[in-house]
Amino acid sequence: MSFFPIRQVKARVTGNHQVAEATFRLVLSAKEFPAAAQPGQFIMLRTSTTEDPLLRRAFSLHDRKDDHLGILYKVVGRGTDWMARRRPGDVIDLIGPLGRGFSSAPPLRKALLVAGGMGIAPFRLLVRSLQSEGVEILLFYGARTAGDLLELEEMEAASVSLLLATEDGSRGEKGRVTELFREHFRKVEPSASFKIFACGPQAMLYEVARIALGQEIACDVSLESQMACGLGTCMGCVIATGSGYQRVCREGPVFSAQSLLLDESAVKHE
Amino acid sequence: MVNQPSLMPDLSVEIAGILMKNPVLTGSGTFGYGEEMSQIYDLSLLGALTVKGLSLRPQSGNRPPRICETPAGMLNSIGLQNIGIEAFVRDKLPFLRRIDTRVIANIYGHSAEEYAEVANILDSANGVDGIELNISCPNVKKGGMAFGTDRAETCRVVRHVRKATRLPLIVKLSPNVTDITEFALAAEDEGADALSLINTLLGMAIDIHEKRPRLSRGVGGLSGPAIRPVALRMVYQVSQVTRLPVIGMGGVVCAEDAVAFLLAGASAVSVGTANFVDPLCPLEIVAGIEDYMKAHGFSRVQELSGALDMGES
Repeated sequence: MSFFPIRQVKARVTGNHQVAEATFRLVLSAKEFPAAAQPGQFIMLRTSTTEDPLLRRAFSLHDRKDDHLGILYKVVGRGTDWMARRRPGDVIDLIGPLGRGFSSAPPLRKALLVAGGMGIAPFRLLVRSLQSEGVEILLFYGARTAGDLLELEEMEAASVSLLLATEDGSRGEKGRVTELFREHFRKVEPSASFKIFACGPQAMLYEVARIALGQEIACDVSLESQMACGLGTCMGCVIATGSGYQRVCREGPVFSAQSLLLDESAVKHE
Repeated sequence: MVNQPSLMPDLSVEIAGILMKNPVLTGSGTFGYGEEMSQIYDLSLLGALTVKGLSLRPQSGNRPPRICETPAGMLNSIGLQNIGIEAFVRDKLPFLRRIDTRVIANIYGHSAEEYAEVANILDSANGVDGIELNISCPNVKKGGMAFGTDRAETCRVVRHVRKATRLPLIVKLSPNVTDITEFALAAEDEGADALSLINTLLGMAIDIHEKRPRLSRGVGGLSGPAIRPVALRMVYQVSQVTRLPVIGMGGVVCAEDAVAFLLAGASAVSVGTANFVDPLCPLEIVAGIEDYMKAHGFSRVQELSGALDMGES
């Protein structure tokens, strides 16, 4: 009868392993979770069983295999601290898949991925999807320090070319990933068959978006925002775009660089 | 008190002439225009749904950040971002007409005349079962709460809208007043058919590291379980003085909360912030109210309203 593309499911924890300082990979078994989930989509996790903390937390879909979902997360507050204390067998309530993911339409030949810190999370699924389409992948990846660079083995195993940067210089170039990315176009001529996919802090994403617009390369950026519902009802997570404030949870979290208003002071208020 | 469990309690209620299959509604601003939530469950299971506040012209809303979590609750300062009444009637109402539930349109204006104009447009738009007058939004500069915290303004706007529509008129009251019963009676005197309460409580949160408010406008509306005792008290107080049916809301997250509001005098309850946390909870609340009625021998919802034993001799 009715088809409900978004599901609220009780998922069982099958793994919750520390992969770096304060950083974990949570694996959940969720049979009823829709198989149609796309790279770049997200889920809302309930990180409490009481009324406090109240709101769900949003996470990129990091992995999806058979009935299992993966989430890569960093402990930054009460919600993620609750998550870090879950053990195999525990149940977590989640809603998804939510939002619009990355789009990779032909004639895409070469994908330039740009990740900042935890922004690496959605790229495991994206890499898998791009590879199945025979796309060549370059990953520009920056973090504060070497220990914060995640997923390197997985990316190397998937024959992704890595260009790394750390702010303290402990691995790769010393500096920000946006500098490394800008540098790349001094050597490489942009082409219509390239596409940029970026995920990370907003300042980094807007910088990547400016570079992409300057080079005239298609670019998808995956934004993060404080959300209450994740479903498009609260209007709390909006971002300034050329067509007004749009919901990160619904029209996003992936936006094209062209659609964003990179200078928010340009937004008209009634 | 142990009564014979009744066979099949009747959950239907009639509020302001709107017949609802059960006493569970969804609160304005927590349910979009309905279609968002229809991707998760069958909306015809609701007593009624209330759409996001509509204004004459589209509103861009406030600059982000617009929300922040607080102890057992949240603050919001959305600023009534909405597509405007014309786009609502043209693009959203056709979908809502197909759903077998009652639709309440929450409306908002910058002046009493503008409120009346929006109400008048809805009057001729087939598919809306009732109007909820938002005179209590704390997040807009002009209008909103200014109408709901001044008794004379409340009277004026209700009077204008009453003349502009034949649809059932529900007035949503602000809790940001000294005595909410005065405003309930004012709305009743001017021809309101029902009251809904409470809207959010004005609040604030500060990031002490940045030395800045967490919301762009500084202040916002507090909602969620944190405000439940205040809401319950106000529903009780208003129910004592008005003959109008009251739709109770404020921190309702489960059937126990809903029953408490009904006992306090509400004829129905509205689920708000809980829609964000647990979208399926309105359905669990409907089932839980039915269980409670069976266990306590109530055959009709209206028997609960005001069945509170204050223990006075």
